[in-house]
Amino acid sequence: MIEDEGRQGTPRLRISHALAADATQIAAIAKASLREPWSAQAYAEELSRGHARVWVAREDAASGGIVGYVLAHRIADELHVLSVAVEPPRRRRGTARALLTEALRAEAGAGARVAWLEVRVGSAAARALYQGLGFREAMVRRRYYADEEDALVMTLALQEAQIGAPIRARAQVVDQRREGQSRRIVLRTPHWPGFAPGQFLMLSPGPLGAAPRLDPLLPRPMAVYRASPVGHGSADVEVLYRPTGRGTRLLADARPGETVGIVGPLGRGFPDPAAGTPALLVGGGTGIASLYELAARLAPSASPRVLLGARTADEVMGLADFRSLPVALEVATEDGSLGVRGLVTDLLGRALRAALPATVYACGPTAMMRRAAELAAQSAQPCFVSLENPMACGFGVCLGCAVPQAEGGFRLVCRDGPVFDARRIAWEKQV
Amino acid sequence: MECAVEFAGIALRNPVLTASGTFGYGTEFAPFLDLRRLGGIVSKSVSLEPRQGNLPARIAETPAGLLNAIGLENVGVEAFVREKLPALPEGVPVIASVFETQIERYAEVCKRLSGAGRVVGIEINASCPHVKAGGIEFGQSRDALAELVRACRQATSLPLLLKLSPNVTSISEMARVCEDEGADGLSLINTLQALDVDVERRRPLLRNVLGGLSGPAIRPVALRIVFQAAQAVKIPICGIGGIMSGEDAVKFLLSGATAVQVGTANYLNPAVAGEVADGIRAYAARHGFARVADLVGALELPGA
Repeated sequence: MIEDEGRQGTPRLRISHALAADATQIAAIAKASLREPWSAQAYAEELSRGHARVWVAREDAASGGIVGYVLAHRIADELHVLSVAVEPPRRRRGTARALLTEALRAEAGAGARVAWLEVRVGSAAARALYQGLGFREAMVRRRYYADEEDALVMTLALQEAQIGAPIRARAQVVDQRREGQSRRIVLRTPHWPGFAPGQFLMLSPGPLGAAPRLDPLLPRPMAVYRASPVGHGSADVEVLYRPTGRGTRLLADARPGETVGIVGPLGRGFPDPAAGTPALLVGGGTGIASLYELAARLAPSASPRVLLGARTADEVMGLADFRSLPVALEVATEDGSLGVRGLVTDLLGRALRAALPATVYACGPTAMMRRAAELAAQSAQPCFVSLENPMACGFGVCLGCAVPQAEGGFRLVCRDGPVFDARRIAWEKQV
Repeated sequence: MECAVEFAGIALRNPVLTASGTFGYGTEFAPFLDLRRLGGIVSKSVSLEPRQGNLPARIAETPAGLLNAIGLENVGVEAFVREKLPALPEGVPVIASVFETQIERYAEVCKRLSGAGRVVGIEINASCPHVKAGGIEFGQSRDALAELVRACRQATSLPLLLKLSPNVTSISEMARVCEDEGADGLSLINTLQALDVDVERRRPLLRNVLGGLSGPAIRPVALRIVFQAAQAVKIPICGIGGIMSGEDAVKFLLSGATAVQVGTANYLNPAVAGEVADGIRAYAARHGFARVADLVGALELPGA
């Protein structure tokens, strides 16, 4: 079964937006870390402000609390980072860097052009952290802090810095295990820019470079299932897949210590649900892997309902992970070996009849996604699908993954997707 | 180690270019590769008007190869000149690839590119195997090819390269036609026309039925064609076909190519073209060549 603990007994971390209920824990971390912390009340007020952007790093274990946070203000196209703190016993593991990376990635993706912050002149470690992320010293504010220490203003041009740009790396297999019909592979990458739920990797089993594998020739696109920072910018990236073809069977043979080439994260992730609407996630077969991180990030705020379907019980991927999330979970199997006997789209039809409005997110076989799109359209609810057309490159060059659009022309799964508004797809021409 | 070469009147800092259609408009590779490590790039074929390309399925993996029928989807020459060229970093030579369906239109695209700055040469795609009109017909008919080269030669004073079809009876004859009509160089080879089948569904893998085969599977064929063409003409040849490493590129240089293009391998490893350039240099150094250019045609034949 699945461990809650990562390697070496270190719980995995997940970065997500903070909730109102997190103010007390954030205040406790601030108190232990900052010379001028705010009260819990002040953090609670802060969290309710429209321009506040607060991310927390949470331990992924069942009992996981918050171990660090970053607090920023987004005003027009600027992101002002106000405070970053990590619980003293959890420091020196790259948590602050991971928090900032996620904040910068998310806000750069949402149009921010400049990030800036003040740092104590005497805080060498903090200055090094910001420099490592690309921040540059812009000016000094004399006697800025209550104790009269000077502040250094540091700035980062987000678009030029290509925050969140994909990386190419040789990742080391740290773990690979069988879960039913699926495999869970954990890849340690030396750097990682964070990812949005729905993004994917191109994975090349075997070493890159001098003697590349000729057959099978192409890398395989795979959804990022989850990623957790493991210190110094590196991360453990998890992928769930089912060995079905030559490429995935080769990947299934990869042992701990071997390397796998990765390029990613690629594509655009799932958009947020329409304001105030619950999220309805529909996963079929291997498409389930694209939805886990979305479910985890939405769980605290968007009361997601998760519907999973497969032919048989041991094809339901990541079931224990979904069960550990605070989400409403329903399962359908075609043979009735788990949950309801039938199709996951039957569950979707029932859910849409019972509870509207909802934003539907679907990933699975084309027929399943097409049916989900129809059901959502009948209820006049938004539906986003994550497509899996064959592709050779993953970054907009081979043009193999063209999706015919309802208004004519094509868009690319890798560059414009993999997530699309279901209404814009010409389903009758889709592969 | 002197890596610079002159190819068809174009000064390249090393002999490695990227093949048209496999490198987009160049900027897609910026996160992975400093483009200034390359000799240059050959951009995606542009036509007079934008083209949408074929319905999916457009690609299929084959043994050590890739079958494609994209359909020459492109933004059109106007958007290419206005948006794509200026987005490339300075110091990266750009050879613009041209595809059209009629000779007059080929010539018109050549004219528009000639005034665009940035473009250091034009490669005429006379051989796309998966577009119904044009393309392959020019590449397979001696007379049509002669007329095409003549028209393009009149339309531009930039170095003019002809990318030829391997799907011909005599590559030597087609190469001589290009040389006689004033081409400055040849790019060999384009993809091999091919078919693969989904046996369970009894259907072709591609919607277009036929496609073009690329990747390491075609490399020995490409080497043979480069070798034969190099003996038939004096204009320089750019070798293309399944290059994955420096050693693969060296095979083309030894067989008579002055430069090479890396194609399908860019998909597997977006930094590979830079690694191929490093690999050629390392090979030349290891084998005691003072200049990479000295590798060209240095194949030692039996009995010679």
